[in-house]
Amino acid sequence: MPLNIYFVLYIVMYMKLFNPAKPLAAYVKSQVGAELITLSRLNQSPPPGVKYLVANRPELEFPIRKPSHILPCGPIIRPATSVAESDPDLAAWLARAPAVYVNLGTQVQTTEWDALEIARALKQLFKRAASHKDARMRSVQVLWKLTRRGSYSTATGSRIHGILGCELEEDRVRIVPWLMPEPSAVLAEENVVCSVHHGGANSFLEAAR
Amino acid sequence: MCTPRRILLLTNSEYGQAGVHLATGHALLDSYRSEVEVHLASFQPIERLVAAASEHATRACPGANPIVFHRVSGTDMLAAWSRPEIRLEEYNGLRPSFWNTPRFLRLLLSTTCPWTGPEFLEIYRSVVQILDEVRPDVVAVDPAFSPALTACNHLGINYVVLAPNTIKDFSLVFQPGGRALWKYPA
Repeated sequence: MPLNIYFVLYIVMYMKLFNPAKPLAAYVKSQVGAELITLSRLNQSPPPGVKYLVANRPELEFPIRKPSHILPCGPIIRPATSVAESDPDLAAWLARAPAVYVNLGTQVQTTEWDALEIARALKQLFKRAASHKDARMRSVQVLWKLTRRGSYSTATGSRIHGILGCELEEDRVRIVPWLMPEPSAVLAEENVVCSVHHGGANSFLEAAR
Repeated sequence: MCTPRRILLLTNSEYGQAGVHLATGHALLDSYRSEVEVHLASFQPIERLVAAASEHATRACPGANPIVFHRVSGTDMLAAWSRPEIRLEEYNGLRPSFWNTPRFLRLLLSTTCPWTGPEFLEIYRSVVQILDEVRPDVVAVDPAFSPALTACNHLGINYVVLAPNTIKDFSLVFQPGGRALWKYPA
């Protein structure tokens, strides 16, 4: 928590003292006579009369006082082509058993070190699931969309295979660099019971839906 | 038969920002079919995705007009952000701590307006031209798309901000006491 206060204070002080947008604001004013409007301005002093439509609902949010110019619209997600249409093989695989969907987003690149940590955690998941009281959960599967940082393998002989070899051989884990269906389509599948993501607003809202 | 209402969506081309605009476009076409014309203005990288979304919408919503894409000229936000001087790859995987905060936050704070003066103006002028061509009835703007916010504000155009963000992201300064400092994760 002290670190939280530090971060917030730092941002506020930095913006007040250094205002990174100042030179740009001066330039824009001199060239076209317009006042520069940025995200920080929207945050700190909303232009009068402008409403903000946000992709959230109060029930999903931290307990917070909502100013009147903000209109929550609930998660705003486009209908996506179903998994059955875009990847029938994956749809069949997902239909077999409950699945955990791991997707850290397109911008996060996972090093081998971090991937091994995730693999060990998934191994724990499988171990616990083996003695789950719900018979369906005992055959849980994992769909892991992995964007690699560095070139490491998940094939036989690799470190990741050293941890998840059994599950990979049994096709209970699929580690892929890319998925044809969009995340919201995967999450819409009935058997996808858990979403592990990087915490971005869109991922959070897609899962909440 | 009355003329269709024109809606213009102004957004950056990064999917994290544009996603809600595409979804809104689809929802409008689904609800209003031929009564609306949805126009979407953004940078070139998203043109194909808009075409695909339009095709999906016209298939799923019979009678709907296709989404009209207007290409904004200039450097898109991700390209401006990915300048070699910034060395973006150094930040990937950094864990925030007391010591690397200044460096980390400097990057974070520069990302919503990463354009140089001339780059900004090129985009600004392109947006002004599109506004003039489309003459929309309703305008929705991505809050990270500064040139468009600046243009709409300057021209006195009535617009709404359409954001993928949460309520918290825009509400911090309005919280009583010092709650903004400690109650919500930075």
